[in-house]
Amino acid sequence: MQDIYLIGNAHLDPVWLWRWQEGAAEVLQTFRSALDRLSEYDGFVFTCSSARYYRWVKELRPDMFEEIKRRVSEGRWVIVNGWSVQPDCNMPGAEGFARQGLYSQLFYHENFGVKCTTGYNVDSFGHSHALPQMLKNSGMDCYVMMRPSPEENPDIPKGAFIWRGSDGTEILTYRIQESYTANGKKSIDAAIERAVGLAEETGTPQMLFYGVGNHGGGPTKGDIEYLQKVNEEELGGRLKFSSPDEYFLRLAEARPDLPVWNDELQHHASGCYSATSLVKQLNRKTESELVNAEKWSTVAALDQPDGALRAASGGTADFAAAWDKVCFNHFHDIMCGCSFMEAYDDVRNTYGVALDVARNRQFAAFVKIASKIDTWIDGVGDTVNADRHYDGSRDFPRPMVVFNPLSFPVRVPVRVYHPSRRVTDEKGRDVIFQNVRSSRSNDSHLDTVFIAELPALGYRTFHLYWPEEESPAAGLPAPGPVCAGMTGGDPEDGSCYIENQNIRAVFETKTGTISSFVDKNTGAEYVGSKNIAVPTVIDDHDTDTWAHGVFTFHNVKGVMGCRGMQVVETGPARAVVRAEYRFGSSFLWQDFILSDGARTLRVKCKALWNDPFTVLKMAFPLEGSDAVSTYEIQNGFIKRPCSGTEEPALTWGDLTVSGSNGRRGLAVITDSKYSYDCPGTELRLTCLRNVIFADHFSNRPDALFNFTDEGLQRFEYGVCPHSGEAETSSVPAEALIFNNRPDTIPESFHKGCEPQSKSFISVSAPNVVLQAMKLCEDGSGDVILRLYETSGRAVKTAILCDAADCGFWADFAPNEVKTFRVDADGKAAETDFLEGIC
Amino acid sequence: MDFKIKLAPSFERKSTFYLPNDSAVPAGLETTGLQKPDLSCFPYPLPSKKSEYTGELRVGPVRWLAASTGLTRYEPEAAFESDIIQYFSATRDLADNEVLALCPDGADGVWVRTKTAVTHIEMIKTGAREKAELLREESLRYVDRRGMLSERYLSVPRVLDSRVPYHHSDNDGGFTAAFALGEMFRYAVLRREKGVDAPETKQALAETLRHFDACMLLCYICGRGDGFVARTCQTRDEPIPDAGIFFRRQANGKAKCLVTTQSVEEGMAGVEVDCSHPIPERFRKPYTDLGYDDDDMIFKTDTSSDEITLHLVHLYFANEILVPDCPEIAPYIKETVSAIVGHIVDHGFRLCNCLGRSTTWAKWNEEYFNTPLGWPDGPLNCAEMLSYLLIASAVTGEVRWEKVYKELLERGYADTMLEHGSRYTVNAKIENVTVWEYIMYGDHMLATCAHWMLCLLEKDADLRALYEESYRQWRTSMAREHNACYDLTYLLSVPGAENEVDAEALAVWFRRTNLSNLTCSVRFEERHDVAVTTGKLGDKAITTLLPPDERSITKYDRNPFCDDPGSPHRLESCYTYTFAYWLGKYSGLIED
Repeated sequence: MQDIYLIGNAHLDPVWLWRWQEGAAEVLQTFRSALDRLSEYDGFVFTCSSARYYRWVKELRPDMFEEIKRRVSEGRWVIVNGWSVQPDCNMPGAEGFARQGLYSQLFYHENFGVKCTTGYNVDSFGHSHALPQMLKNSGMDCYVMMRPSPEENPDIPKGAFIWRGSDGTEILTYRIQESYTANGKKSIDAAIERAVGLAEETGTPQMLFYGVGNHGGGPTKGDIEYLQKVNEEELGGRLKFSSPDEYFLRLAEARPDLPVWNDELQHHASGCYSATSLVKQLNRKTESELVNAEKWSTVAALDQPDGALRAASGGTADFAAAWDKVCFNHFHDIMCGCSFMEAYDDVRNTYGVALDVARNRQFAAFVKIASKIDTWIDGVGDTVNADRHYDGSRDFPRPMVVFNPLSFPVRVPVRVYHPSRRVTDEKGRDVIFQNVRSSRSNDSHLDTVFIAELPALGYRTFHLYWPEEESPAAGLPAPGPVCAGMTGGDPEDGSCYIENQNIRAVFETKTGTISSFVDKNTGAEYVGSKNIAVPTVIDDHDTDTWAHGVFTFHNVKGVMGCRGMQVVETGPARAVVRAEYRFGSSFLWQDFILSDGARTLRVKCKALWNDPFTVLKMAFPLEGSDAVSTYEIQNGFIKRPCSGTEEPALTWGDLTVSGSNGRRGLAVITDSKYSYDCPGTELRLTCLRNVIFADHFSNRPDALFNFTDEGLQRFEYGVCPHSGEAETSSVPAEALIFNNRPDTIPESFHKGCEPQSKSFISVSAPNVVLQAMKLCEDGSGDVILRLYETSGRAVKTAILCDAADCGFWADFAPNEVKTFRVDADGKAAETDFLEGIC
Repeated sequence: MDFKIKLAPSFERKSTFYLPNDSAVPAGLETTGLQKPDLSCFPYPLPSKKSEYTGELRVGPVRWLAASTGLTRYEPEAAFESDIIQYFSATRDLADNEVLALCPDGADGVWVRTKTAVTHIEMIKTGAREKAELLREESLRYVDRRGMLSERYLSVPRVLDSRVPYHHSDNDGGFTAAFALGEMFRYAVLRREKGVDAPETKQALAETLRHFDACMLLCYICGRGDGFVARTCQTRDEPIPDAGIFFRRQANGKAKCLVTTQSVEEGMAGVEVDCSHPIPERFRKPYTDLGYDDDDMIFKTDTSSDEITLHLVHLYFANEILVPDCPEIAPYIKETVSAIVGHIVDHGFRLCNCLGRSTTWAKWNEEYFNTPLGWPDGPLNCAEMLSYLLIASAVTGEVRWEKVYKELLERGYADTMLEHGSRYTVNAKIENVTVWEYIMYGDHMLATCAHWMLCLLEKDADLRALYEESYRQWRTSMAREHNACYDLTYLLSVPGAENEVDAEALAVWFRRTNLSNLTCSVRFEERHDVAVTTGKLGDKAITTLLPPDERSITKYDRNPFCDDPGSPHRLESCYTYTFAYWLGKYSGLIED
C-alpha cells in the first residue's frame, strides 16, 4: 500500500461573509490553536499558506510570530503558497501574479529563511493555463489545487499529475478529490477510504487534508488522536503526518509515470468571472496604474548613475505597500465578487489607497522628467515667464507633455481639460485636434482632444493654443476621414454611420445595433444576417452568486430596446454616435467613438441597472466556418471551443472564422471585464451580472437584498476587426493601447538638457512587450525589466534602454515571460519574479 | 515540402596574428587618429559597454568600433540582419581584447593593433559549400588519424602542424561515424551532380570508404566476433590516457587489459581475453600500411550507447548509399549490423564486456529503466533500441529483428518514449535543479538519430504518429539550439515541421560557422549585449543564442548557451558542419 500523507491545515478565508478584521482575528486564533497542537503532539505537522496571514501575526502578535519561526525552523510548521493570499487564479493580471510571488517570497525569506516551493490554492475557482509559468517564476515547482471538482471536470487527472502550462513549463500538481477540511471521525474515515482507493488505483502516494476550515480552526485534538489511532491499529503506519513539500519530494522519488495535463483547470463558479463589477474594474485599473507609475518612477530615477542614489530616488517601499493592497484583494472570495456587501467597502478603500500611491508617484516622476525638457521657445518663453498673468492676451502656446507607458510607439487621442484653437507638436507642425464636450458645464465646457504620435515608453511635448474667444465653437465638422452622420429617412427608423480611415460602422437606429461593420483596409464586412453589438439581457434567477453548477448563461430574457440614436461629434479628431437603450427598469447609454487612425471602435458605456437577477451581455454574431474563440490570459492567450460555456479572460476575447476572404475575426476588448461566452459563432462580452451578494446555493430567505451590479456602472469596450488569427494580428497591441492611455501634464517654458520628445526603451520584436519596469527590491538600484511574448511565436528581440545604459538580445519562447535585472553598469542578468534576491 | 534553406555566399572572418614589429604589418596602423564614436541612440545592442568604445574606423558603409573589450563591426546595410553587428574577441579573433588602433586592409578586412599583438582580420566572401570543403580539408589534414576523426591537440598554440600523437579518446568511434555519414552524403551529392564515373566522384568514394573502413575496424578490432564494438583504437605508439578500459592485442590471439585507474577499480587490470576472431584484411590496412601489425593495436572497451547509435545509423546509410556502387562491402555491413544488434539482444538488451558485465552507458532493458539512474534514460534508450531493430531489419532482411521489435512494442517500449518530458520534470525535482540544468546536451544527438531512423523506417501510421509525438517532446529542448543537424533531420522526419523550424536561424548557423575549428576562446558571458542566467547549481548560461563564430566551438554534445573555454591547442573535427551541410544537400533542403 502506498503512503498517505496527512496534511494538517486550516483553510482561512480572510474575507467572505465577514470583513478582514474578523478574518485577521481568526488567523490569530487558528495559529494559536496550531501552535498548541504542535506542543501537544510530537510528529504533528501544520501547513498553512498566505503571507498576509503571517504579516498580521508579525504586526499584531510578535510573540506568536517568534513561536512560528521556531516551528518553521524545526520543519513542523510548513509554509506553502509563496503568495500573499490564495487568489482567484484566472483574473489577476500577469504582473499581479508576479507581485504575489515577489513580496511574499521575500517576506518568507527575510523572516523565516525559507522560500515556498509548493503553490497552494485549494479553494480557488479554476486555474489559468498560465499558472505553471507564474508559479515557476516565483520559485515554486509544485502545486496543490482542488477546483474544479471531478464532477465538474472529470477529465483532469485524479491525484498527482504533471501540469504543462501555456508556455510549456511543467510542474508537479496534486488535485484534491473531495475536500481540504476532513474533520471528525466520519469525515476522516471517508477521506482515508478515498485516499487509499486512489493510491491503489494510481499506484502513487496520496495526500489527505484534514482540519476545520473556511473560517479557520485547523486540526483538532480529536482529529489528530483519531488519525494516530487508525494509523497504528489499522494502517500499519502508512499514514504520515507531513506537508505538501515532503509529499511531492517522495512522490518524485518514487519515479512514477504521471499523466500530463496541457490545458487550463476549469470550470467552477463561472458566475464569479462577472459578479460584482466594482472589484473587477478597480483591479484592472489599479494593476495598470501601478505598473505604469512604477515604469515612470524608474525612468525618473535613472538620472542617478549610482545604484544607492537611484534606489533612494525611486524607492520601492510605497509601491510594495500598494501592491500588498492589490494582492490582498486578489483573494478568491473578494476578486470573484462573492463576498458579502460590506467587504466591498473595504475593497474600494484599499484600491483607493493603492491608486493614490500610483498617481502621486507617477505625477512626481512626470514632473521630474518634464522639468528637464527644454521647452523654451525664443520670443515666447520669456514673454510668458515675464508676464504670467493673463491680461486678456493669451496668444501663446501652452506646453503639454504627454507620456506613453507602452513599449511601442502609439498614435492615440489625448484629452486635456481645456479648449484650444490650435495644437502643434514639438517641431511646430499642426496636429489634428477637436474641441469636445467636457464633463463640466462651467466656462467653455469644452476639452481638447488631439491625435498624438508618441514614442515607445516616452514622452512628447505638444503646444496648445488658447482659443480666441471665451466660448469658442465646439469643433466644427470638417471634411476628412473621421465623420459620423445620420442617413436616410426617419431618424428613429433609419441608420447612422461612423467611420474613419480603417472602419465604417452603420447602425440601425431602430435597434441601436450595428448593421454593417467594414474593415476598410480589407473591404471585409463583418455583419451577416444578424446585427452585432446587441445588448442582450439574460435571466439569472436560477443561479447563486457563484453560479454553482451552472456554466452557461443562455436564458435570454430579451434585447434592450433602443430609445434613440444621435450624432454627438463628427471629426476631425474623432466622431461619436450615441445610443440609448432600456430594458425593464434598466438603462444603458453607449457612445461609439472612432478617432482618427484608430483600429478599434471604442464604446463608452453608462448603465443604470435596476433589474435583479439579470446579466447584460453584448453580442457579436459572425458568419463563417471553422470558428475559433481566443482569449487573453496572463502573458499570452488560450484557444477554447465555441461551446457557449462562460469563460474567464483578461482584456480581450475574440472570435475568428473562415470565409470567402480567408480567416478574419472580431476581438472585443474591455477595460474592466473578465467574462465572455461564445455559443457557436457568436462572441458575447458579459458586461454586468446583477445577483445577490454572497448568495450561496440560492438559500434565500424572503428579504430585501442588495445586488452586486445594481445602480450606476461605467465601463468601456472596444471592437477590433482583424485578418488571420487574433494573437498574430494587432489585437494584443490594441488591447494594451485600450487599457493604458497616455497621461499628460502641463509644463512651463524653461531651458533643459532633454529634447522635447524622447523614448526610454526600444524593443525590436513587435510580439514582445514590456510588462514591468521597476527598481529591484533589494535597494541596489538595479533595474528590473520584465517582458513577454504575445503571439505564440518564438522570437529573438533586441532590448535597448539608454537610460539604464543597457542593450541586449533575448530569445523568447512562445508566450514566455522573462525578467531581467540590469546593474549599474548596464549588464543584464536573467532572473525571475524574485529578482535574484532569494 | 517547399522548405529551403538558401545559403548565399557571405563574409567569413579569418584572423592571422603578427608581432607588432612584423614587416607585414602596415605602417598605417597608428595609435592616433581614431575618433571616439558617437553611440547615443545606437539602434542595436553592442557587445561592449558604450563607454568602453574608444575609436572608430569607417570603411565605406562599415564601421569598425574599437573598444577596450574587443572589436565590433557594424554594417547597417548588411545583406542579413544577423550580420549587421559582428563581434571579434580574444583569443579566437584577436590576441587580446584591448584594441588600440585600426586601419583598413584594402579589401573588406581590417588590421587591428591590440595590447600584445597585431591581428589581420580578413572578411572573405565564402559560399557554404566552399566552407564545407575548407573545413573538411583542415580536419583531414590535421585531425584525421587513420581515418578516424574526433579532435586533435597541438603542442604549439594555433600551429596546426604541431599536432601531437593522439592521446585522448572518448566517443572517438561515434564522432568518426558522424564524420563518415557526412562523407557519404557528400559522395551521394557528387554522384548525383557529376555522375558515378567522374574523377571527383570516384575520389569522394575512396575517401568515404576510408572512414567507413575506420569505423568498421572498431567493430572487429576486439576480436571477439560477438558484435562488441570498441569505443576507439590506437597504436602502441600513441599514449594511453588514464581514463577508461584498454586492451592490448597480443600475438597469442589474446588481448590483455592494461592498467588504468578504472581497470584496477573494476578488477580487470591484467585480465586476458580471447581476440582471435579475424579482422578482415581491408579493415587492417589503415594500420598495416603504416607498418603496424595486429598485436600493435590497442582498443578501448567502455563503449556507450552513443557509439552504437551513431555506428548503426552510419551502417544503415552505408548500405543505402555505398553498397550499390561498392557491393563488396555489403556482406560486412550485414554481418556487422546483425552482430551488433544480436549482441545487444542476446545479452538482455545490454552491451557486455569480455567478462559479461554491462558497460556503464549501454543498457536498453527494463531492469535498467527501473533504477534511479536508468529511469530518466528510459524513453531515449527505448527509442534507440527500437531504431536499432528497424535498422537491422532494413539492412539484413532477417525476420528475427521484426519479431524482437514487436515484442518490445508489447512490452511498452514505444509508450515509454512518450514519458521523456514528464520524467525529466520529475527528475529535475528530485535533483533540485531546473529542467534546463538537467538536460544532457549529448542526448540531443542520440535522440535525433533514433527518432530520425524510427520516422524513416516505420511504416505503420499509428506507430509513426507516436514517434513523431515523441520527437516533438524532444524538440522543446532542442529547438532553441537552432542546430542544423537537429533541425534538418526533424524536417525530414515530421510532417509540418517546416512550420516550426526557423529557416533564417538555420541559415545563420551555416553562414556564421567559422572557417577553422581551432577552439580558441571568445568573450562570452561578459559581453554587454547578452543576459546571463545562473542556475541552481551555479552554472552560468547566456539566454540568447549567439552565432557559431561568436560562441564556443564544440561537438554537438555541449550546451551552446554555456561557455566552453576551448583552447588554442585543440582542433575539433568538422563533422558538425559537414554532416549537416551534406545531409541538407543530399535531401534537397539546402540551396546554395
